[in-house]
Amino acid sequence: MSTKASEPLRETLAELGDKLTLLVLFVAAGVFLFPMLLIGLTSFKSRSEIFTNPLSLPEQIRFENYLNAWTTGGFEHYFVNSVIVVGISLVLILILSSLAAYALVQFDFPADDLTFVFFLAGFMIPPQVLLVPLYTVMNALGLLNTYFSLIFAYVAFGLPFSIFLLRQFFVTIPDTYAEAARMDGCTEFQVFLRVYLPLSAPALAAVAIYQFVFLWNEFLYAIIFITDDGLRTLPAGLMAFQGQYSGDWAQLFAGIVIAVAPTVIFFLLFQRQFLRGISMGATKG
Amino acid sequence: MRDVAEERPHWLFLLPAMLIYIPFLVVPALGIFGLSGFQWSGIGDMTFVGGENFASAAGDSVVWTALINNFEVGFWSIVLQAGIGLLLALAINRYSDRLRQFFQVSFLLPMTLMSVAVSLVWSYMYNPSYGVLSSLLQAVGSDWNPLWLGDPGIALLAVIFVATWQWTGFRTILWLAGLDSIDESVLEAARMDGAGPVQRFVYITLPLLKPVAIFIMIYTIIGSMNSFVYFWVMTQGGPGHATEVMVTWIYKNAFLQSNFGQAAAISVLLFVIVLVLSLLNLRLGDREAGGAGQ
Repeated sequence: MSTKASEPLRETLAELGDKLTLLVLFVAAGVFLFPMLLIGLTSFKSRSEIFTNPLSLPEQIRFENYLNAWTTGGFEHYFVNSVIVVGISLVLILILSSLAAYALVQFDFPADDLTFVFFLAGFMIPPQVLLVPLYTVMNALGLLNTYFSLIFAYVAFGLPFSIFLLRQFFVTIPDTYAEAARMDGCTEFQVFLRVYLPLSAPALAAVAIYQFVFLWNEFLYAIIFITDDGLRTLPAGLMAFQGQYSGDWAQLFAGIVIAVAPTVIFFLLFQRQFLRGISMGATKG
Repeated sequence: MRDVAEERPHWLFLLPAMLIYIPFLVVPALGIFGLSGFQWSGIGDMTFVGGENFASAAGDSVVWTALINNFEVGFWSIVLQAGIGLLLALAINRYSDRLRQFFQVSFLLPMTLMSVAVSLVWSYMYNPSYGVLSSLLQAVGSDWNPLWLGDPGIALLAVIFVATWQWTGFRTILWLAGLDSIDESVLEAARMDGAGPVQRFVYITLPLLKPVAIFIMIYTIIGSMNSFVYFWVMTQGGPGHATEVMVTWIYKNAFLQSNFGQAAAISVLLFVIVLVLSLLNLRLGDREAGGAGQ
C-alpha cells in the first residue's frame, strides 16, 4: 500500500535496520569474548597491577605467573591427572559403547529391546542426583582417592548417550556387509573390528568430541571422590589453588588459561563438527 | 533375517559395558531410595528410620528455599538464555558464511570453558572494590555500588547472569538449527501471498520452531535444577541461604553435616522432579510434528 514517496524512506529504514542488527551482533560477541580477553590479559600482570588498574593492558608480558602456577602451584600434576583420567575414560567409553551397540544392532536375542531401554534410561539420571549413593559405592569398594573412582563414574555416565548415538549409526550400515564378511570366515569380533569400526569413524569422533569437553570440565565428582592433592584433576585443582593463593588473581588466571586451553583449542580446531553435532542433536531430538 | 542369531555371542559384547554400567549407575540409582530410609553418617552403623528423612526434609525450610531458588534460576534462565538466544539467532540467520561462522564460534566459546574457571573469573569481575563491574559503574559516574555476590537481594541474579553468559550462545545455536530446518519455499510462498515479515514470523516461523522450543526449554530447566558449580564456587549458597540450591544443600547435608540419609532423601526429591521433566520432554516431543522431535 505504499505511495511512491515513501519508497526511499522505507529503503533507508531497512538499511538502518540491517546496520543495527549487525551492531547488536558485534556487541553480543564482545560481551561473550570480553571475560575471555580479561583472563588472558590478567594472567600476564603483576599482583599490584591488578588492583591499581584492572582494565588496562599489562605493563610487560611476563610468563612467570605461568611458570609459578605450573610448578609450585601444582598445575603440572593437575594437568597430567586430567590427561590420564579423561584419556582412559574416553578409550573405555568408545570401546564399551561400540561393542554394546554392535550387539544391539547385529544380534537378535530375547530382550534386546529391553536391554537398549535399560541403557537409555541412564540418560535420564543426572550425575548430581547420584552423588551420595555413588560416593557410598566408591567408598565400599575402596576406590575413593584413586583414578578409578572418576574413571568408572565417567564411563558409567558416558555409556547411555554413546550407545544411543552409535546404535543410530550402526543401523545405517547395510547388513550385507556383515553377511559377506561372515561368508569369508570372519568371526563376529572380526566383523565388528574390520567392518563396523572403520565405517563408524565419524560417529566415534562425535562421541569422543562431546565426551572430551564434558569430562575435561567435570567438577562435582572431581572434588568429592578425590581429596589427595597429588591426584586432583584440573577443575578440582583450580578450586584448591584458589583456596590456597586467595587474592593472587594473576597466578590463578594463568592456571585458568592452562586449564581451559585444551578444550578451547579443540573447539576452534573442530568447530564445524561441533556445530553440526549440535544442530543434529537439536533437530533430531 | 538372521537365522543363526542364537549362536552369536551377544552377551560377550554386552558384558564389558554392563560391568561398569550396573555397579556405578544402576546400583546407585536404586540405592538412593534405600539410603533415604536410613539414619547414617557415611561411616559405621546404619539405623533404619523409614520415612523420617522425608518428613524432616519436608519440615526443613532450607529445602524449600533451595527449591524456590532452583525454580527461580529455571525461570530466569529460560527468559534470558532462550529469549536472548532466539533474538540473536534471528539476527545471525540473516547472514551467511563468514560472518555467520564468526558469530557462531564466538557465541559458543564460553560453553567450552570449565564452569569452575568461569565462576572464578566472574567472582573477580564481581569484586566490589576492584572488580570490572564496579569500575564500570564508577566510570559512568554512578554512586550505586552493590556487594554483588555478597548482597542477599542481588546474589541469586548475579549468579544467574553468569550462567546466562556461559549458555546463551549454545541456546542461540540450537535456535539457529531450528531456523535452518525450516523450508525456505514455505516462507517464499507466504511472501508471494502478501504476508509481511511480522506475519511470516508469527504464522510460519514460530509454529515450526515449536519442537526446538520445547527441547530448549525443558533442557534449560533440567540444567537449572541440577546446577551446582557456579553456586558452590561463587557463593557456597550464601549469603545466608540466599543462593542455596538443591545440589549445594545435598552436598552440605552429606559431606559437611554427615547426614547421608537426609541428603539421599533430598536427592530422591530432585530425582523425581528431573524425571517428570524428562518424561514431559518425551511426551511433548512425540506429539510434535509426528515424532520428529525424537
